[in-house]
Amino acid sequence: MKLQRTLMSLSLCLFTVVTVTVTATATAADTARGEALADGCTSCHGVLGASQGHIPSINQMSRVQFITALNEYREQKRTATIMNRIARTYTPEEIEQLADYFTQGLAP
Amino acid sequence: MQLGRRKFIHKGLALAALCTVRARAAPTARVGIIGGGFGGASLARYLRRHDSSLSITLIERDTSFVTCPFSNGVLGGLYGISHITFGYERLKEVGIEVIRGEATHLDPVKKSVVVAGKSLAFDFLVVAPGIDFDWGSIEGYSAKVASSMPHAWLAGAQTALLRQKLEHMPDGGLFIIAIPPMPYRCPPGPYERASLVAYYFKQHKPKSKILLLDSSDAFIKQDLFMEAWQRFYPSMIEWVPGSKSGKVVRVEPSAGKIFTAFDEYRAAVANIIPAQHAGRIALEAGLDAGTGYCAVDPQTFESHHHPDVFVIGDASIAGEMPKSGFAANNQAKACGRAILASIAGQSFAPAKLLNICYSMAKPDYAFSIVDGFEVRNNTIQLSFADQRTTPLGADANEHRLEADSARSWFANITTDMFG
Repeated sequence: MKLQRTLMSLSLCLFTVVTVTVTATATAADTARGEALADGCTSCHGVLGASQGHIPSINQMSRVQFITALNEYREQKRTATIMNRIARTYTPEEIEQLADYFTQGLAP
Repeated sequence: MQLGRRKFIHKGLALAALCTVRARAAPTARVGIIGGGFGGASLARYLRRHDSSLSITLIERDTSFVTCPFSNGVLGGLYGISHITFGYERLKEVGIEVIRGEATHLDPVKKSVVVAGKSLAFDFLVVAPGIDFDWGSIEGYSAKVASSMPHAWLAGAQTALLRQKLEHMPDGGLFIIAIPPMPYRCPPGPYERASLVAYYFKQHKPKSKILLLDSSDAFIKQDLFMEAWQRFYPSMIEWVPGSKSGKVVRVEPSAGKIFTAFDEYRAAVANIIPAQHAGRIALEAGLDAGTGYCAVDPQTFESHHHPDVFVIGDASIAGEMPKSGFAANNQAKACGRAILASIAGQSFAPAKLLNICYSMAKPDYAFSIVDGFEVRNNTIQLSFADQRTTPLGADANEHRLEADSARSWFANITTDMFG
């Protein structure tokens, strides 16, 4: 039983890694689109995703963390005060584009 | 094969177009912005962050900006007005020319503006004047009367004046808020105002009452406000909808009297918020085409009537986006992307339009509405009609986290603009 659970969580984990790896090569266009989408995020999460106060910064996460969190909010699988409501407005592709932008650490 | 290749080239060009939005623009482009609030200041900073060589001129009437968001906290005694006052020093430091003065004339064809008798011409002109009042909407009310019955709907001296009147009001007094017809700036604002003034009364003047005289029959986040009022201020706040003679039609300032169609009230302190329209300069330039607000492209915010003239923030008609500081900041970025792409001669990736609005009922209790938007039928429409707000019956911890988020949002968005 325990082994089964471990295997299951391992395969889930692998699944996540594989999903993310497949699309890991972001084109410049993805990043540009990500930046356009990100303009909405920064109104709360701060310039370039660096926040002051309670709202978390979103410029220090790994790509996997970012995508996993946003998808879980989107699918109402992670509790939140408001992110579960906001994440509904992004498609999984847009979430990846946002991840491209916020995890590259670039600052215009 | 041929088709495939053409398709490939086409796609390649489209990608190149998207990439060039970030490219540095020709140093000759001049962008003029009228109004240094949530729309104008956000846009100036956004353009500068993306283009170090662009000539950006911000024309602003006042020496500092006092935010309407969080101004209800000043009325509730949570903090002083300095907490919501911001200067333009940082904008000047990053090379934005800030001209202090009122734009007295705007030529939307020449894209020129007159300030202090001097005419300035631009390649792109962004009009972000916020709102002005329709003084004739309430008989007996005027800019002069606002010194005895403040509107406090432009934050600053009016906020300080209303706070002073609330401080001087004796316990047991009646505080009346007259709420205008839609569309007006910050739709949940009057109800948050009632909540935070109730917070102040409960501590210092517990026998006092608050009466909301409304032009409308329903309001945004209504159930959440009512829930909070029931929890914290039972029997202190009364709301009269428009259909029950709530709409204020006349005032008699000398007697402190307020009249609706059928009823007469006498307030110890009156807060009269008149009907509104786009800022005067936009109307005088005809950007509203006589409608009171300015029609714009839903992705670029370019005026329907004049190329390379843009209207953002409260003065624009933005479909289902409300007139809020958050929305103006969001629209500024969308407009900024469009201007940068136009300078580069390229198409652009449209911005994501959002509005997130927190309302506080007391310092550790807030709730929110979250809206995503998309462009359909050439207008901005809500992406989701359901589950937009904090759920009813949420526990104290949820509301405390939302209040913490509200404060964090305020710090972040004002840093975006002024920090």
